[in-house]
Amino acid sequence: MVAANVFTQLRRGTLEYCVLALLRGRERYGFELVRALGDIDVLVTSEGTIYPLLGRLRRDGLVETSWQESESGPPRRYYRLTAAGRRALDGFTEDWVRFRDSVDEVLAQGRQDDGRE
Amino acid sequence: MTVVNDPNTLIDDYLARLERAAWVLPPDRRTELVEEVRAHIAEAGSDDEVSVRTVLDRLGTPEEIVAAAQDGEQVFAGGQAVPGGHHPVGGAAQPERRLRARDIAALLLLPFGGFIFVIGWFVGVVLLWSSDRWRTSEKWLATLVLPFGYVGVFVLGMMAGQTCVSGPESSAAGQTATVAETCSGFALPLWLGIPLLAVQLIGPALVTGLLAQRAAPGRG
Repeated sequence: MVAANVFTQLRRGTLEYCVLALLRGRERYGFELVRALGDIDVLVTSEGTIYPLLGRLRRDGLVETSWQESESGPPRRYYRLTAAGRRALDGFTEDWVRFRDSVDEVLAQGRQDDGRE
Repeated sequence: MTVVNDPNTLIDDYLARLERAAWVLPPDRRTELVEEVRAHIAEAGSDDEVSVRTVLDRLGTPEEIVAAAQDGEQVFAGGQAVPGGHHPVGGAAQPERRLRARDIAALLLLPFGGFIFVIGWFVGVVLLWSSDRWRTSEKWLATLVLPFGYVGVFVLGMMAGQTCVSGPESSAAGQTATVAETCSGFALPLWLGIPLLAVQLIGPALVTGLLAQRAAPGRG
């Protein structure tokens, strides 16, 4: 329960940036994006909940969408990073590295102290 | 209870459940969400029962998806909404009320608070700016369209209200009495005064209505 909660808490602040990161190189349509996230370990447990997140990112101006023809069916809605989205992602990337390093440091410190006892 | 095996029925049932759960969302977001999920299932292109069930399982329950849309938070394992800032732990995500008592107070104090020794209007402004129900642009609009609300109408009325005293005046020469007018106060020309008065009367009502309509949690 506690372990599950850790992932839940971590996802809350990071998942939207994982979405932005997947869009950094190229635009993707909803299904493609959601499946890509869903295939990565521990990031998503319910793929459907990504769609409301995408809507929020669009309303916040971090991604934009366009409809494009598909060869195999109806038109697809593609998601693309905006300039604001790119800035948000860059900012997060820096912050994340700092944060991760700090946590690693504290965890390592804890292990060292434990070894001395 | 019958066991559903037909893949198309499974999908239809799922989408119907999603639509039912999504009634709490604003209509445009509800339609968009259902269409996105419908497209997702179509893209998955499954046509046998097992693979359709897998697609639906990976999506999560319709209730989880709607809770994620409602809460402003992702929903994860266990079918329980991650408690957002305002939601009780483990409680079903209730849509937050759009206007709390304090927001209604702000909307009343902005047009009418000026009458409470003017300070009422300032209280309204503080309540307005500290609320998350409106965007910054809307807050500026409400603050600037009519400073002091309807009190402005009275100020304008005073400015336009020329007080004129007319009466017979005897001329120094004691000849025919002439009628003279003495006016005090500062007059606005009618062509300016009347439209200005109209704007002052309608402005606060329009802005208050607009704010009441747009208010929603987490906008500003």
